Amino acid sequence: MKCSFVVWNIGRKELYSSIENLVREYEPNVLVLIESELLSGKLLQILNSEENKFHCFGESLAKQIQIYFTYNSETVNKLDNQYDGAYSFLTLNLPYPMDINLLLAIVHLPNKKIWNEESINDEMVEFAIDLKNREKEFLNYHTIVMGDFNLNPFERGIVSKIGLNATMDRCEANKNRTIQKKEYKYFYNPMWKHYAPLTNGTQGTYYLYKSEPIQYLWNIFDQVIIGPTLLPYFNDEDLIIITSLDGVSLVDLNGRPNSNVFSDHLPIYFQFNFQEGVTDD
Amino acid sequence: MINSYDDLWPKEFKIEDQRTPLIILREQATLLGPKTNNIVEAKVQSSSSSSGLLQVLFDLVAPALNNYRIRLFTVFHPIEIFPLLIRVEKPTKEIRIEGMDDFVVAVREILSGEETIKIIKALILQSTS
Repeated sequence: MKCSFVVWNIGRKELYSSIENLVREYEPNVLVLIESELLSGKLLQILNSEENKFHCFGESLAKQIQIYFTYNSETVNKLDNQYDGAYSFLTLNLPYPMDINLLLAIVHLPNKKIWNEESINDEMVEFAIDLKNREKEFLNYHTIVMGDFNLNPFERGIVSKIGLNATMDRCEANKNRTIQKKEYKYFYNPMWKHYAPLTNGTQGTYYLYKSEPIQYLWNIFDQVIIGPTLLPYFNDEDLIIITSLDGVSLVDLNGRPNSNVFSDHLPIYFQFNFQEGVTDD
Repeated sequence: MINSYDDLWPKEFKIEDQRTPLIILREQATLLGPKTNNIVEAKVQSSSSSSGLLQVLFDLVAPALNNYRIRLFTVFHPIEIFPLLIRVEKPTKEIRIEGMDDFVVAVREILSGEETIKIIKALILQSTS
């Protein structure tokens, strides 16, 4: 039984019909919208026009994050978070037959136009400490971190032992890392392989051209990072960067996000299969 | 002579009506969301009051308005269930109920009442504009 997610930074655009198409095509159980100023009630009317599947998460979350989900309202709960600026913690208690408890961390870090890279990386360290404390509080929960990190998978806040300590290696993710005799738990970051170009030229979730000595052009700021206990339920092929909706391309002729019409970020889709283990790690 | 091993309890505890006010109200609560595209939901909470009575709170919630919550009515009842009291918030009134049939009629009147409809429409309007 799948539990699927879409995460999309919609850049404060009124993308009601694009989201409607996205939901119709990908049928996510959890829809996370970042930089959303959409009227939740209006979006619910649209999403539920044929079938009343979606609920809106009513409590306020970190800046401009909205969450919609197909599960019962009681299934999703927000954790108290004094740092509700850049991220929010939620629990998702999936009932029988999935019978699994998820700790969700939804992240929207400041962008590089506002904060420099060092500052964003430092904020990730703060988040990582907070996340560790939450995981101690919710020991039998499985962690998923998702959102717009405004950091690439290779940047310090994501890979550092004091950041998320997220690795691209699925095997290593199951182990702890020992540095200076101290153990650090890994997270798995499945996003790395998505730098490989698609046939339409897309090589990430966000394209940025800057006239400075170091620039990457393509970035994967929008990520999902997975706790190792969820690896048996996650197949790398079930994670995609979405580049078209209902036959309409979200990217231009060079595969770059068409920010004139849609968002400057591309959505990501991923799913977990909870009734049967997917891979034997 | 009664021996210490005799069973002094009745043979069985036959429950005629399986439905309690709480069950009925929970059923009704689940029906509201689909009528409003889940823009307005009904929530039921039960607890014991300071007077020792059980109480069931029936609220309307608008998630799109930061989970704005408004109480429609509260049911107070003893462990035997009837007679019970329904305290309606708008218009403020208290209704004493002797049996299950009267309870269902009273709840129908509240849920379909003008005031309730007005509140739900207002919540929908404010959630979508």
